[in-house]
Amino acid sequence: MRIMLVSLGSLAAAGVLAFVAGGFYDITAIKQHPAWVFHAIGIGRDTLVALQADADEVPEDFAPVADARNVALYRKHCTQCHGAPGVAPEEFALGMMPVPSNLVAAGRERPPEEIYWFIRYGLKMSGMPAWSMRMSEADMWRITALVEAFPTLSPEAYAELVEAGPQQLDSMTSVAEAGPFTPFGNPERGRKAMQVHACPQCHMIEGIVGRSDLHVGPPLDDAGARKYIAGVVPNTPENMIRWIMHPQEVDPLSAMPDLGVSEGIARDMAAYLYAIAGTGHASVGAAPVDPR
Amino acid sequence: MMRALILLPLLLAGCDDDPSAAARALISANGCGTCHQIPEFDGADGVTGPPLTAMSRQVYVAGVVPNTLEALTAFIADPQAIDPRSAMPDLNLSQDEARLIAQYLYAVGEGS
Ligand code: HEC
Ligand code: HEC
Repeated sequence: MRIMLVSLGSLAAAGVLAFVAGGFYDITAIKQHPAWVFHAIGIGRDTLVALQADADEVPEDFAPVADARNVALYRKHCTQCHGAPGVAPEEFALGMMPVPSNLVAAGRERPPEEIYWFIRYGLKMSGMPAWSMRMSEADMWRITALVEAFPTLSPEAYAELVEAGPQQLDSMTSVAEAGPFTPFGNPERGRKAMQVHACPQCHMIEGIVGRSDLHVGPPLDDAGARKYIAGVVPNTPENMIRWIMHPQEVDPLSAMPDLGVSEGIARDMAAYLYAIAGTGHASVGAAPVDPR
Repeated sequence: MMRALILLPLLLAGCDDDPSAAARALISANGCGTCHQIPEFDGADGVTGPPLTAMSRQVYVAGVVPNTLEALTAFIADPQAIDPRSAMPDLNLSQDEARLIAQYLYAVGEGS
């Protein structure tokens, strides 16, 4: 029975491979899926979103609001891809596949909990990013409020709000609100946070799916057990946290960029790294604890 | 001086025919394995420094300069010349010795 299943599976896999590798399926970004695939994906996506979005409660005082602050937030995080009333997306976004949706239409068609769901969780393989743990709850709801207000906002009124607003917000200002955080790191949240801060783009990390031959930064499986952080300062939880937040403060020459990680999140990430290194310091206290 | 005397025969022994034997001799004599994991080296499983198990694949040396034979050689010969904050000790290796080790590290391990 098992052998039969395995051989059937291999056959199917070989078929798909031959189909794709043989160039029968177009994986470029200049050609949309065939219409039936396109519509099937749309139905699948919308069904799942409708089901899952119910889990997040809309705040009681929620209302559509188009004001200068919300517009500034939206311009920082969303316009590049989605454009805005009377505003085109950036050039790169025009060539994305799928092309980022027009959010005036989305605001008409989708309830707030679904808009919020897209912002928070993103959409795998579409190019839509997740802001979970990188934007505060409050800001995610502010942007949701703006998208819900889009259908009643003229391009002219939008342009006035752009004029009125702060031109650039500090990057990811209020992530600190994303808590609640304890003085002890939460390893599981740290693992998830590493995914949404692009850590696996450069590091191999136990417990996080990614390429197995990637050496931009060092593998992190034993980082918690190594004697130094980044080869320059002793490995203590406080140094690990400082490194994750601001690598150049620790080593000005480092190629690791500052990713705007807030302190609570960095503490969680450190807790995860100590946990997988098996150093027995899965909870990272506020007071320095020697991991060795 | 003492060390040079100890190393010289090891080096000469290897140099004639097999540069990788010379590199291995240098690696054992300098105790690289007490601080690093090194492929195909018994007991080289230190965790003071990072693993040297995929040197030919690494994008950077010591996380600060692009990984080329020149940079790797320079770092092994004088870590602080590449990164003044580096915690790797300067082992007083010559450029030639460092290059032998660098070539060896490229030739072993993942991606070689
Ligand atoms: C890097 C580009 C990119 C950025 C930045 C981006 N999005 Fe998206 N977004 C996408 C793509 C691509 C999709 C998927 C379109 C599809 O499924 O056809 C999408 C889908 C959505 C959807 C679902 C729309 C629908 O089809 O009903 C919403 C809502 C959304 N994004 C909101 C936002 C908000 C709000 C922001 C800013 C916080 C944002 N997006 C930032 C690319 C982006
Ligand atoms: C006392 C411990 C110690 C010894 C002995 C030691 N190293 Fe290191 N090494 C380190 C530390 C710590 C770092 C991290 C330094 C940094 O990132 O700046 C390092 C970094 C390196 C790197 C860079 C690794 C990378 O990921 O880019 C190489 C290559 C290296 N060492 C080779 C050697 C060789 C070859 C020897 C023996 C000749 C040696 N080391 C001996 C501690 C040591």
